[in-house]
This record gives sequence, structure tokens and C-alpha cells, in this order.
Amino acid sequence: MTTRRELLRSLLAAGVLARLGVRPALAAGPIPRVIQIGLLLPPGSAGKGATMAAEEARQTAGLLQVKLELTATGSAVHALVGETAPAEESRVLFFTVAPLDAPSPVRPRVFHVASSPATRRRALGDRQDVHVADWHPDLKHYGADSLNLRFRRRYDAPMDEEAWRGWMAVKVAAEVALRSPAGAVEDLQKALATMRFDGHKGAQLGFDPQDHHLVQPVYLVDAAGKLVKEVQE
Amino acid sequence: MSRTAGRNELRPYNLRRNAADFLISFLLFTVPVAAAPLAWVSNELAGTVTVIDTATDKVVGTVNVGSRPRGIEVSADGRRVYVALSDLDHNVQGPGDAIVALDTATRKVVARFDAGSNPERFALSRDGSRLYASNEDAGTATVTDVKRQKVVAALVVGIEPEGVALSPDGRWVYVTAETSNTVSVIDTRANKVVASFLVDPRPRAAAFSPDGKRAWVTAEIGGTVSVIDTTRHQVLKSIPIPGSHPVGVVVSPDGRRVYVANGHGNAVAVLDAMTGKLLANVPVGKRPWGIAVTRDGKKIYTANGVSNDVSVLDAATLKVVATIPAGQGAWGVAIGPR
Repeated sequence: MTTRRELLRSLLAAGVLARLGVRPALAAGPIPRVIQIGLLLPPGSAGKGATMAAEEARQTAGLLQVKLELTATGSAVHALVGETAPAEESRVLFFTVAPLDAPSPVRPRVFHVASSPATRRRALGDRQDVHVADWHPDLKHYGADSLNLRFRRRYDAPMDEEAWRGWMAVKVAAEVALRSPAGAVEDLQKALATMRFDGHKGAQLGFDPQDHHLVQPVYLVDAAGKLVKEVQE
Repeated sequence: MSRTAGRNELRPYNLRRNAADFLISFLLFTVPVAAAPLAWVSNELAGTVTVIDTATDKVVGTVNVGSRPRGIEVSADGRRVYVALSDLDHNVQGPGDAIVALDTATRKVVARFDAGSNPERFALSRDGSRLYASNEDAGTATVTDVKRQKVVAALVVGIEPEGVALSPDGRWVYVTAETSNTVSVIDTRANKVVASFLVDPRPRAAAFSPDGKRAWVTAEIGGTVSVIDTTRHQVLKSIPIPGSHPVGVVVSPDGRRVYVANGHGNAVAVLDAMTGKLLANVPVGKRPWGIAVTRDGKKIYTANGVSNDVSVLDAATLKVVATIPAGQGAWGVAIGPR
């Protein structure tokens, strides 16, 4: 027995309703949504990571019947990813990829994908033979090998920490936009406060409400670039 | 009492005894004995499948299958065990990438199927005619026609697909994707992806309820299990499991419980399927990944990838009743008839 919904769908499919100018909500399917992310990164390592994440985000959005638009300006509706945040207060969520040398005043809509100066200091302790990195191309566990492989396959270069931060920043920006149907910056910010992310580090990553840095495992790397140790907080 | 009389008096007894002997003989040699099923465990690093008798919980065999066996399923008729293999070159499809079929009687590889590059988890249709496999690096799900031994579709799903589950009516295949945090829905009649939805971070596996109305999707980094309305392909709710890293998932045959292998949490979470309430979190071996339940629902088996063994849980007591050595990197487990 044909239901009313099926009848409307068949009429729409046949173009009957469209010719009459009728668009029944039952038959129209989900309303297409557009999310916009601004990429303000130079074409360095971070830019490469961001570009890869943007393509992955576009594929994910496509599956969800959402259109992802990337802009090269600061006019993005949802989120911006850049080296550092502009001086003025952002109208959108802003995700920075460059690590801060020292704590800076918290700005409500600016979030840092790099580990915080305090985290890096704690991870380093008294050691002077190593430095702290947010990522390493030799990481293998927790899906890190898959991510490193994807990057290497694409760019014929190892995924360093800058590349990972660029990738992670766009992933976070796209995910918060995809998971927040309303799309207003206040809604995005509210969602971000409770969201947890996967950065291929085997731990839930989320932004510290106090300093707006991404809380994450970090790695000790020696002078030769060799991975020495993982540090989880 | 005469000898004859004596024999006559004993005769009814002899008849009864003979009848009993006959019945025992009949049961032993004529009627097939209901043998306990076998559990088949893929060992990713060892390249083997460990065979366990679920009656005794002892290893009864080990089969060499090839490189990196992970996903494992038993056919509905119990005659074949399918195992996903992959070579170490993730970039391209190589000769080591395949799904092989073992004959359960001879425990020999009897067929080899193209299932795209680097197949990981897969589902087998109930009639045994189709294999649906996830291809992690290619970002696809491959559909293989078993009879023709031919790939009939390679469908774009999410990024880094892993979990594959087939609805009991055979209509839908759910494919989880670890990086995009999505589940893609394949309509098996059309061999097309007809819907996708977001779940929590790093979804690993999915399982349908026996009535097909619900599906359960684990999220390793999210630490949750999402409950899916399979009529609308939408998330109903997400159940947090504190301190967990959910990976494998299986629903009890009566549909009343959901068992979740907690990977790096080294435990099995037991959920009430109706309420979603966490009933127990049972410590098992190290890094339980694959999980399976016997068809009578009485025992649950986990493949523990770091301790290289299998834990057996009693469903009634929710206690570990056996720990069985398996091969290195125990990954998946499937249970089928002997």
C-alpha cells in the first residue's frame, strides 16, 4: 500500500510537483548545509597538514550531505585556522597552530592546537638533551602510523609537528562546525567546550577551559630528531 | 527355582537392559551428538588462526593462514571460516591482501577472494554470497561476489574505515570510519552508500541487535557506545563507559545484553541493551579487541592482542572462567559449529 510520503516522493521524482512549484518538505530530503573554514596558513609544513585535513573534512562533509567551503580570507563564517590569531577579537572561532613561548592572556574565541608552554615545561623537566614536540613522524601506535603514512604518501615528506598541528587545527575546526547544526559562533564555542577529539595519540584531546590550549600527550625528541619518550599528562 | 524358570524370570530385566543398551547405542552412534562449537581466533602477528573447543576451552588446532590475519567470520552453515589477510605494504593492493576461506572440516584454505587493499574487518551475508570488507588506507568498502570470486563494488566510505556489520535481514551494512568519525550505510540491494552519520571519536566496530532494530557502535577515543535507530540510521544516544577504550562489540543472542571489548582498558563492559546501563566491567587479558558470544549466549570470548590469549567469560556469573593461550597479536574471534 502506497503511503502518503511515498506518493509525494514519486510525484516529486516524476517532476509533477516541481512543475507546479510545490516542494513538499517530506520529499525534499535534508536541507543542504554549508560550512566555511578560513585557512590563513603559509604553504609550509603546517599548510600542508591543513590542506590534507581540509580534503578529508570535505570528504566527510560530503558523506553527511554538507558542503565544506574553504576560504583564503578572514571572512569565514565558522572557523579560521592560522599561524597566530589577529589582534582584533575574532567573529569566528580561531585556531592557532604556532606554539606560544610563554603564557598569553586568554581570548574568548582563540584556541591553540599546540601544547601549552606549561605542558612543554613539565614534560621537559630538567632535561637539556631533548626537546618537546607535539608529534613525530615515527609514531606508530593509536593510528599514528596511518596518519603518518597518509601524509608521507601525499607529500613525500615526514609529518612533523607543524604539519600535525595544521592537520589537527582544520580537523577540529571542521568537526566543531559539522557537529553544531546552528552554526552561530556562540553555539560553536559552547560545543567546543565539551567536545573531545581524536588526534591519533590514543587519548581524548580537548581544550583546557583555563588557557584554551589543546591538552594532549607530547613527545621528547633528541638532538638527532629521534623519538625518545611519550609524556601523557 | 529351575534354570528355565530363572531365565524366564530374568527375561523382562534383560529386555529392559537390552532396550537401554540399544537406546544408548542409538544415541551414541546414530543420532549426531550436539557438539560444542569451535572458536576461531585470528592472530595478527603470528599469521595464524587458533582453534578452540568451547566445550573444554582447550586449543585443538592452529592453522597457518598468511600475513596479518585480522577480521574473522564463520559462515552461517558453519562450513567455512573466512579470514581477512593483508600484506605490510599499505599503499597499494598486493598479493597478500585477500580474504581466505578455510574449510572447517579440514582446516585448510580452500578459496581466496579479492577484497580490495588491506582488508581489515568484514561481514559475510547469511547466504554466503557476498563479502563486505573495509579497506583502511583506500577509504573504501569492497563488495565481493563469493561464487564468482569477483569484486562487484568498491564504495567510498569515511576516512580509515574499519568496522563492518550486516543487519540480520541482510539489507544494511554499516561501515565505521576512524578518522572521519562516521558510519556509512550501504544498501545491499543497490550496493550503494545511502546514508552516513557522525558518531563519537574513533569508531571501531558495530553490531546489530538480533531483531535488527538497533545497532551499537563503539568509539575508542570517545569512550562511548552509540545506540543507533536502524530504521532512520540515526544516533539515539551515546553511552559513556568510564575509563574505557571501546573497540569490539557483540550483542547477546537474546538481545538483552551488549558486550564491549575495551581494548586498552583491558576489560569487557557489559551493558543492558534496553536501558544502556553498565552492568559490569570485567577485567580480562591485555588489550581485548575482537569479541564473540556462543550461540546459546552462555559464554563470551575475547581475543587479547597484548597478552596473546583468549579470555572466556561466563555470561551468568560475569566471571572469567578460562584464559586460553592464542598466537601473537590475537585480534579477532568468531564462533561457529564444530
